Amino acid sequence: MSAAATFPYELLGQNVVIAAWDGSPITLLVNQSANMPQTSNGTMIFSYRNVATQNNAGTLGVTSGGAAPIFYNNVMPSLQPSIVVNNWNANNLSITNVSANSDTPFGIQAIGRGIPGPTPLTLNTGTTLAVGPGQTAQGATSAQWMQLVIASIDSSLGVLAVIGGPVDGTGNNGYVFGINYGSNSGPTGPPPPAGYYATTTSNSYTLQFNCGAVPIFAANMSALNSSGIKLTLRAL
Amino acid sequence: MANEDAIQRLGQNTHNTQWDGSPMVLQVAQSATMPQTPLGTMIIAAKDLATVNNSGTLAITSGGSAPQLLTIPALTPYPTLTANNWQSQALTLTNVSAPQDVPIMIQAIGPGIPGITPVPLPFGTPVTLNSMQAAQGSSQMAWMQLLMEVPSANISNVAILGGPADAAGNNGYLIALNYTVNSGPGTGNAPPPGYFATTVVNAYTFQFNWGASFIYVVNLTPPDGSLNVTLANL
Repeated sequence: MSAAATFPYELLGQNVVIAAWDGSPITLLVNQSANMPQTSNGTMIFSYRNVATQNNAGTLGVTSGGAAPIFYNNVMPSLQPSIVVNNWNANNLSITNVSANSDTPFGIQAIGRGIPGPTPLTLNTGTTLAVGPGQTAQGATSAQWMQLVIASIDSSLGVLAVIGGPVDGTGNNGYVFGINYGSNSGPTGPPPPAGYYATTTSNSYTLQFNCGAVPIFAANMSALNSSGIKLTLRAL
Repeated sequence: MANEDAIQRLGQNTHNTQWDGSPMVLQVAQSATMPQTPLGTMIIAAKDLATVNNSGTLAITSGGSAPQLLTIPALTPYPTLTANNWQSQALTLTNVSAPQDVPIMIQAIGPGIPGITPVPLPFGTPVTLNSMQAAQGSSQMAWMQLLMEVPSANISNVAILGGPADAAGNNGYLIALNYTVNSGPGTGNAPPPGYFATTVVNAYTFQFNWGASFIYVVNLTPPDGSLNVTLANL
């Protein structure tokens, strides 16, 4: 194995800046790590964004338990956070900035119910709520058929992650929606792009569900310069 | 022998080992080394400042790669440009011109690199850039258009940096207006080496959907050439 191939692995876990990261937004400089000792045992969102001032591609290494590291390569500076929606099964989650260029800081954040960070807005049934980029909302469903209306305020891509309800066969109960997307996909159409549950070229999407009386959590993961998303939770 | 002479000079008589990319003049046999380049496209501009008709040669080395020798024409106000992703490696520029009287001005250009402080590039508002001025803004998660116009019939070079990188790691686009041929996407003609597109008219529109990326535009025309740019949301 070449030195180049082993180099990123050697960095992981070194120069730890936060050994007990609670998921709050932080900035990782090159070679710095953050370790969340215990993740949720349900879907959680991990968000990262290259905040370099230069035109630098960056790389993040992500490890959990004894699994091999996953590298997110060629992440260019952007106002659109990249997200990973997954159930890390209460294992630890360690994030390391292994970028080649030393001027490549990353902003990282874990998002989900009860995780420190932005205080969720209150999502009441029957009331439309505007959720800005980076904001979250939380409410409760009733034990009946419900509908969540997701609408964009402008024509730019809106990305919304929703967590709640029973888990699927992989232990996940999270759903990512793309509105004003480049194609229609999802349960009633073609397979969605990787990581998404459904996408639509329209500026709104409706999700019908009956998952009992459970908490519902939504996070607007759209670009920081987008106008926001309007959410309406209805009892049908 | 001429090549050997040139190569033997590389890294000798180093003038600046911590070059940050700001404009500087290299005399013959002098070098400047940028210890770490961006991990994305960066532009190097070089101009021959000789007062007589002496073309110059600039050697560019990065890592262990063989030197790239650029011929810098004499007595022209147009800078010679090369845009590349040097993969965060060190970059050394050496003036290996044969005549002694060939100073070469060099400059590295890109977001975050000293030398050019970009002005804001808002949506929908034209911005006028003088020679070697840049503008920087943010694109949205939607189709966008950058309109470039020059108020003259002179050949004008514009570089755009931003968005995702291609397979070679580059995310830069060099466009020439008032050029002698139309080339690039949609024309059926391959652009000249180093260019993304050229047009015979004094305006060009660049459509893109990069997501919410930065966009950096720089006017690389001679000192008397201005450029108007407008970023629009489609």
